[in-house]
Amino acid sequence: MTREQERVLIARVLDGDTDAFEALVRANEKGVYNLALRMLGSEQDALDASQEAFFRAYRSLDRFQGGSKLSVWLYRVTSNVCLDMLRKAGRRRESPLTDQDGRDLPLPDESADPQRELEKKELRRALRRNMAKLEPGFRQALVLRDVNGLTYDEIAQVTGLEPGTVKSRIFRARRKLAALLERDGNFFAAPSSDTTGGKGGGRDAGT
Amino acid sequence: MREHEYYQELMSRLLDEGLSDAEQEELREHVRECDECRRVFAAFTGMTAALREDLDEPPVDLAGGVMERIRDEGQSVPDRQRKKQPVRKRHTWTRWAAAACLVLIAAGAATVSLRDRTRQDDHLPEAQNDTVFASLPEDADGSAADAAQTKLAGAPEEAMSAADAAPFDTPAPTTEPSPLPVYDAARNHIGSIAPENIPAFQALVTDEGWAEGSYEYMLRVEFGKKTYAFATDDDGGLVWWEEPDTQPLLSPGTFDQLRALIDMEAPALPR
Repeated sequence: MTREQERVLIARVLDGDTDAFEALVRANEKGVYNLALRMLGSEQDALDASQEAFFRAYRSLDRFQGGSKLSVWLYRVTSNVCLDMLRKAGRRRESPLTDQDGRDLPLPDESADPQRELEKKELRRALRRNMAKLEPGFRQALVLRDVNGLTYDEIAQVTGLEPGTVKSRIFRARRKLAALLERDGNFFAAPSSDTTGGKGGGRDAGT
Repeated sequence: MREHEYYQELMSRLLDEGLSDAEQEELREHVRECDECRRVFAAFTGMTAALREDLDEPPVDLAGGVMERIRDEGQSVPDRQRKKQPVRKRHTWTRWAAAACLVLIAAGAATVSLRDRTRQDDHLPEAQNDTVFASLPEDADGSAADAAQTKLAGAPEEAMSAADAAPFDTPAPTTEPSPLPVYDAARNHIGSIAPENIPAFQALVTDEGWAEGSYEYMLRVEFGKKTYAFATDDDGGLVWWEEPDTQPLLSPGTFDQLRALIDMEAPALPR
């Protein structure tokens, strides 16, 4: 959907054509749902959060001024709904919402050499499992970047943080996640320096 | 040789916005020679690729559910616009004083009298205000903001119920709902503020009151050179925005900053 199409639909909704909102929902539901899913870790929670976010967006649509993309604004609404849910969950029980995907998965066998697709699936499950262990604010920045494809500046708009802080949060989230994944299943054995350096040198080079 | 962290931060930036040729060359040289950074590089690129590829299809009934709810309970946006228009204008604010009700309720300590407050008292001297804002901690490393968020998540329910009984000296218009929802909602976002820091927050709240021609009860808070307004949403939720912009700020970052300011900088604020 182009910005212009978006603008026309928004104008129609503001003019009282409620049904026009459905096209805006459908154009943005994938991004909103995946943001909520990675933030909350459960499909049911993600569905609830997405619907709540669209509903809130509908009711505040007159405050959307077109200064950013509609999607970025919707991610802001969605993030807020998710963080609210995480806070409420945090008050109810000791741990926040955690992933329900593959919680009981056995750790991958490090010595095995499974097929590539299987490896990918394992990695995705492990990612979801370990994303839940990141602080919500750090998870949010990483998800907005890697799942929703936002720039640092756009994430700054969503979160109210400075772009420099966004950059730092994403870096720290990646570092933490990499450490968690390493502990979880040693997913990323370091390739030999040949593959990254383009020049022979061996693993002992420079150490 | 620079620290590993420097190179790993370059890797992260490479994945997001790219690096200059010189930076790329520097990173390449290092990764070639450093086992640890080579491992981290493999992890960063592998998990980033997986995250970016791994999108789920939304449930088929997502959009239908939204539209059903809108038709069932949604007030049309134009209706809402008509109702809200007056509240955006500063001069339509009808009441002053009682400025720290928000905090009183947040802290469950309704003992500070606010009736004698004047607008002049509410404003911080500009220079001091700037100093306070500028001295907010960076939140990247175990930040006050995150600490505040954690504190909020752990806030006991008892404090909330005690707060519900707090008296108001700003009675609602007879035909309007009580202003409690805005405080409830604000409290949920701002969390408990230590009683000794209440005066600091008082200095930040510049005005509040019923918006003319609206069911909304509003608060305005100033810090740094920014002004934020808060109002109840139709369903008792909270909306807020940075003035003069009217687009809602739905990020908790604003509140995190506010909490950090109050908790850490209270001694620097006028009482």
